[in-house]
Amino acid sequence: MGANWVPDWRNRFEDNWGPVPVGGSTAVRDTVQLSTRQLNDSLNSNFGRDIFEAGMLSDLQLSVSGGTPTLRYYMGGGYEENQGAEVVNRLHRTNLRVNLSATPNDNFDVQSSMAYTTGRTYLPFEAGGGGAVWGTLFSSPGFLYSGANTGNPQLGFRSGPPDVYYQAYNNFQDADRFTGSVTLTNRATSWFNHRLILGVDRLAEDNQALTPRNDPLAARYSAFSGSGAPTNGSMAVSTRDVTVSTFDYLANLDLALTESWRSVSSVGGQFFGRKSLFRSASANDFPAAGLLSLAAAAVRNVDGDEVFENNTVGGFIQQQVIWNNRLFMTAAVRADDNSAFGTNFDVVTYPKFSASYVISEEPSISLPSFVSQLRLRAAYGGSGQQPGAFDATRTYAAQGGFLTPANAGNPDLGPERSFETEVGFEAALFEDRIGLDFTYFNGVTKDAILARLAPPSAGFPGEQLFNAGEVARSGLEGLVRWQALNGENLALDFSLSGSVLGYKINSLGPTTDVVSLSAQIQHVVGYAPGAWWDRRLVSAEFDPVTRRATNIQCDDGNGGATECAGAPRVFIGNSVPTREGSLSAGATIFKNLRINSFFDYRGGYSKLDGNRRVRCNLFALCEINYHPERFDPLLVAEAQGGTQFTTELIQDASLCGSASCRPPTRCPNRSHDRSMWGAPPSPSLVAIWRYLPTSRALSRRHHSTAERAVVPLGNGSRMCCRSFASL
Amino acid sequence: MTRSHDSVRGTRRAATSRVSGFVRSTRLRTVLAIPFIITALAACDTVDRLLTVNSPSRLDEANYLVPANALLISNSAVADYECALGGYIVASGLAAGELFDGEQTAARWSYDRRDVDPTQAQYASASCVGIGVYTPVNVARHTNDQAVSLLQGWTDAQVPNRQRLIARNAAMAGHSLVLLAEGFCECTINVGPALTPQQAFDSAEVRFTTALAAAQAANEPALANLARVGRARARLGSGDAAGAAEDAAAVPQDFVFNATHDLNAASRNNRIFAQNNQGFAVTVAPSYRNVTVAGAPDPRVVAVNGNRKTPDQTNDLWSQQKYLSLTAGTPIATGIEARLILAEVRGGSEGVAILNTLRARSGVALPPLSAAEVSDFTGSLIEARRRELWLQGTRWFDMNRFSVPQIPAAGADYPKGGGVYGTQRCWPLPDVERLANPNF
Repeated sequence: MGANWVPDWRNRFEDNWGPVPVGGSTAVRDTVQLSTRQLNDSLNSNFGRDIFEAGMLSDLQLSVSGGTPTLRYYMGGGYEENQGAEVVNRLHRTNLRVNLSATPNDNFDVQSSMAYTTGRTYLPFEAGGGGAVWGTLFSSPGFLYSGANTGNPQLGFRSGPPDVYYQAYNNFQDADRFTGSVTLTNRATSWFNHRLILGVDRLAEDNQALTPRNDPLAARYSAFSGSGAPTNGSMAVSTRDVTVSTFDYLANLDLALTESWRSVSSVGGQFFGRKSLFRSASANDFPAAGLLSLAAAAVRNVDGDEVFENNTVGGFIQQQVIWNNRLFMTAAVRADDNSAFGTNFDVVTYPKFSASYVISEEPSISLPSFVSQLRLRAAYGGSGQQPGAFDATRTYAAQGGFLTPANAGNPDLGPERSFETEVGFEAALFEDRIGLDFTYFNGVTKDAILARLAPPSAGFPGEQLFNAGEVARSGLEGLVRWQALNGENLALDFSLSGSVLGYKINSLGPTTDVVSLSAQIQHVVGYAPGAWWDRRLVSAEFDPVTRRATNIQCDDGNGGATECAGAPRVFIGNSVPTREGSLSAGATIFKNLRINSFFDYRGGYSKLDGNRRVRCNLFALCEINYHPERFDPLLVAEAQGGTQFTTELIQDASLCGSASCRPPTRCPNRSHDRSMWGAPPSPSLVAIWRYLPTSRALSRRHHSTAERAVVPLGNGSRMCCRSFASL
Repeated sequence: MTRSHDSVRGTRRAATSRVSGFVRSTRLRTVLAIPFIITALAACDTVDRLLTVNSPSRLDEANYLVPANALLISNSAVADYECALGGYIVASGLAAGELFDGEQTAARWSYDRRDVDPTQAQYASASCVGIGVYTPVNVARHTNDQAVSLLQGWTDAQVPNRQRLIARNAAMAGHSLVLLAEGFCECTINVGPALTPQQAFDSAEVRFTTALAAAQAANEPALANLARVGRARARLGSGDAAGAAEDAAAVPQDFVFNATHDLNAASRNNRIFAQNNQGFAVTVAPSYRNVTVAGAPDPRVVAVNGNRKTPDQTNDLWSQQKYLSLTAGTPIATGIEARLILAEVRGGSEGVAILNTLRARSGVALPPLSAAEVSDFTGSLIEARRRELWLQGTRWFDMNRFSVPQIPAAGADYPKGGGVYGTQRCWPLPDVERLANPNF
């Protein structure tokens, strides 16, 4: 059980300013403020609900396991219901998992795993459309007096009160996912074993955005008018069907060369196939209320029908030598080929070397008695990222019976290759009550895949990927674990982790040192990929007569000032964190009740405050828009400049808080990360092929849907809190 | 801990013996063969088969740009222009004061407010459906130029009606360049250096000349007139008044060449109807409401009052009646425009006569210009163009070249918040081009 809520939401939104008529006059206006509390009072008295409410979380999981030594089973299932802080934001999900393990003899075993999840997520109409956040954050006193809408139906909210959105729109996503795998392991002899994994992962999504015809609502609220809006109704449906098939074979030849030396030779091969099918259709203009189907609409469009296939075939050979079960040395090479590689590229090979030494097992070395285990390790290895399905090819897409340029492509595009050296140690102290794990890494990504805007005059829209020269990275990662108490009825543990990361573009190729990704995001040699670059305001004056900023000057890039129209873009800050850390504490009570808390930190990067930009620079809802004389002329220049300047909008986004109660997770989504290599033949090996954030991942991170899903309320804060306790 | 050399040697011998025994074993050979078989399989044709994928929803360039697809290539390029024109008409209509923005979001306010900044993605990168201009027009220019180049390289045996297709695509390429020249303070093509409007008009004229020659060779008078009107417009823009008049005079008054629209995809819809009459995203600007001539309604500019607010809750909804459905054709070139060009060049009594002829035509039936209007011929011509060519994508450049007073005036508060009306009369070259083009 748990809850979602927006902390202190009545006070965290700034008051909005706006002109309102005085005494019923349309000519004489006064500027007033409107607070969230006032908005909420109006909403509550009209609709009987607050803008945001605490949403309940409930999750019931049941499982059973058992069997015999030769046949074991696990069956589990659960049902989950989550309610968001915005009332229409909710989900329900059912899951089922079955694991079977059979060991008919000592040499052979079979494991199978199947999981199925199905559920529906209802989404608010935010992200530019509207809803509680949109209507509140961008509310205005002017909307208390909206022209033709007599009777103050909007209550001051932008577009309309949240409940009107809830009446007008119904957006949801149905998602069914099945994952299944079979692992066959054969230990043919004491020195040879091999295993085969066959897997499938199938995701079927049905996304629907429904806007039933609602003439009364459309007549009362102007913002809900239009053919695609409730006036005549509309709907958009899309399906996404993704099937991922995997084949993974690994064979190990384990030979004892001497009493001290052992050799493990491995060979493996993988196939990774991904097929995605997208279909979308939309319709509008229903002849009567109550009709809500594609066939019933007067205007129908097939908006998309795309199939993407991407296959990777890889193999590797690895040799490991082990001395006295405490020194592990490994050398390997693997090769990958991909269906989407550019025409000028073929198989890519990656090397790997690693060594691990359990120094605490070394009799000739005497360590302090409190050191339970100490392992030193070093590794060098390579990995890569292949281009996407259409990244290399210039393609045309069909629209209404014609073909139009879709993707500029880059026939010379090839895989990017990352090489990295890392050294570190792991230690267990005081009988493993304290654990330490530190790693320093230094590497480069060659032929880094970066995005750049295709010049429109070339005739193809959108972005184009290219292989940049080289991106360097280095950093330090650390983890400290402490089991403070391990009693019968109470256990306490703490974990502190942190990392410092640095990225720098060494080269963008022979022709340029600067590549633009958007108006404020650029790749520049000597700086991190995808950093913020923009014209920087350095001075302005305020004209009390016109009440506007004048003589606006920008940074000339050399420490001076110049006219902003011709000013260069200068470095503002990194767009991805360079420092991250977390502190978690957990308590286990009576062995069954677990309470967790987390404290996260991210720093060393900047974000664009889009909400302030919209409030102050576009919608004119801020005090600075009505009383500019009270503010620094520099801020006035920016607010009056619309979208021209971002000097004060791009700010340090260091985040420190305990808002997120789930530990951060990393989700490798590429075929060539560690999973592609299969499990190391020995659990004591150091895995060098860990997930390495690539340059493309960095450059696109700020566009990710996941980040947009968290509604920012300003730098340093997050929208929702969640807490839970589990039994 | 140390061990004797004998002990080590003995261990090695034992291990060697064990390994030798393993290698001799049949079972071992069988087992060892498995990874080798796997490796061999991975190295052979199986790998190629595994790496062969399909993408039936898209065509790569090599498979698309072949003679067998000549008609599709040509038609598709025309469709690119037809969609680009729709976006341009709406965007330039907002900038020129033909339309007012009615949306509650701010993406298009800069069109409306005449303060488009080079950093803005809306005018630079948005699609024609999304009311972008620079990218859709450049796509249309590119695909039509590409079609002409391909068609010129193929033979009549490979492509039926090849000259006709060349004429049509060359004309569309020319019209695309006219939009770039008229709408933008500077532009580029083919990732080249910046072009002034004069240079872009010159490039357009080259394409119209190609189109005219091909149309005459194919005996396609409609395409010839499409090229003539376009070349007259380009010549007028570049200052070649005599050349403009020569082309315009050759076009009959009742000539119309429309962009076609249908319901098969959003990109194929009539954009003005979709944006104004259907979506309420734009409204007819006040100066185009209740337009009259001598107190009587002017049939050339008809808008009806929706008696409600647009979604921005600020503007009143008025709907244009020039295009009455999503499939209504949009004029690309007309004999009326040719007459207006001819009137502008000739001026004087001949110009007045042309304007009066247009006013007197069937379906319009307006009285001749008054004495006051005759005495202000330039003003009357500008007004005639404003009304005759309403929502055809010409007003934005007319505002610029005739220095027509902007309404609302520059400096006036923008009613939806966020600044004041600007002085812009052409759009700047977008940063998206400047930053990605090595010529800058």
